[in-house]
Amino acid sequence: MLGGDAIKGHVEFLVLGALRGGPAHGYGLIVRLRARSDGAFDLAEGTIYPALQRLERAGRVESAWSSEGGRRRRVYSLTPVGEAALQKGREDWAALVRGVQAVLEPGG
Amino acid sequence: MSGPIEELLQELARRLGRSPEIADRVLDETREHLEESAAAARAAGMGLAEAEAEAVARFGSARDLSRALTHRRLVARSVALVGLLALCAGLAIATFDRSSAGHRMRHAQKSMPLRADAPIFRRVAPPPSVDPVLVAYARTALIGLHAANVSGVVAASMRSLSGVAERAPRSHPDAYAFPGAGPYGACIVVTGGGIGCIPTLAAGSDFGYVVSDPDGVGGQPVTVAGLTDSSVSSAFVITDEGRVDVPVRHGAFLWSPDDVRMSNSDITAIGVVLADGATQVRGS
Repeated sequence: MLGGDAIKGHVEFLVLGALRGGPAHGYGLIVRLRARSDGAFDLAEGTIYPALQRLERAGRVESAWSSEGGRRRRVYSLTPVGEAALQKGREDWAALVRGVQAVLEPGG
Repeated sequence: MSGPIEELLQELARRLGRSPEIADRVLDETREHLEESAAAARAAGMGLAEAEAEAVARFGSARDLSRALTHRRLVARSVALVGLLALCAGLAIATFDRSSAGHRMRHAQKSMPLRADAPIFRRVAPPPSVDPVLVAYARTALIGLHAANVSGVVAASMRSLSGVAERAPRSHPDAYAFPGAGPYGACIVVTGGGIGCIPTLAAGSDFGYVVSDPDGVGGQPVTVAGLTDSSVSSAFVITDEGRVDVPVRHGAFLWSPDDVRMSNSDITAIGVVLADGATQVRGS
């Protein structure tokens, strides 16, 4: 399981990726991240909120209050700017993985 | 009702007390998150107290969350404060700079009045450059102000600081000066008796001025004319390669050696166009 230090700096990217599946509130995003990563991330759940606020200030996500089943939730969704940032992040990540893998593999 | 969730929310509210603009939203979202997390834990078979403790443990501490939420705001406020301090220092420098230049101007005018037979200009050694630390400071101040996003004040301070910034170290090999005045530029003076030159600024300046004095010179004060009340509509210098208009700076016709350096040509004449359209030229 990857701890907070291991994924520090990637939280915003991960949140954008989780929002690709559709709008979600904070706890819903945590559940989504846990499920998609197969429980690989041991992330303090509260850290998602500062990340969401940073993304919102950057125009990459937008949010609004929503009531559902008697619960009042702040629901976040990707903006076009966020979509573009996610695509760029995916390309950068793929390049990084290729580079690291090339070094780590036997004979690299 | 008190439990782990309420305790965390109370601590978070206390820590966010100085950031009321975000506190309500953060507390609402945190409460909703913890209650949903605890509900999920209970659905998995935990008791109420155990489920709440589990939800709080997963969420993390109120201290870490409040720090993460307020850190950027503290940085932004610090940048704004630094920007304002830089503004004050920059304006002080600009005020001192202008005051000092005015003193040098007055001193030069008193000590070397206009002579009708004075030669025009000669090329001289480059002037000493302004302390680069000062220039770097002025630029840093402007950057700081931009970072602080104090746009209205920035515009005003840009104008005030332009005198400092314009005196940045220059790459030109030449400067022009009136003989005997030192290598620091010259004035074009318009008087009742015609147009002439006076030596202007003392060491440290590399600008020339166009001034207008309808009362004449020769012991009388000569004032730098603003465009709005000047009888001069434009000014120029003549070099080996032609006429070069003198640009307007600080409300007067004012040039630096960079403006008149054309293939290292000498300035052979100076001239003005008066408000009535008449042109006066002195020199060859």
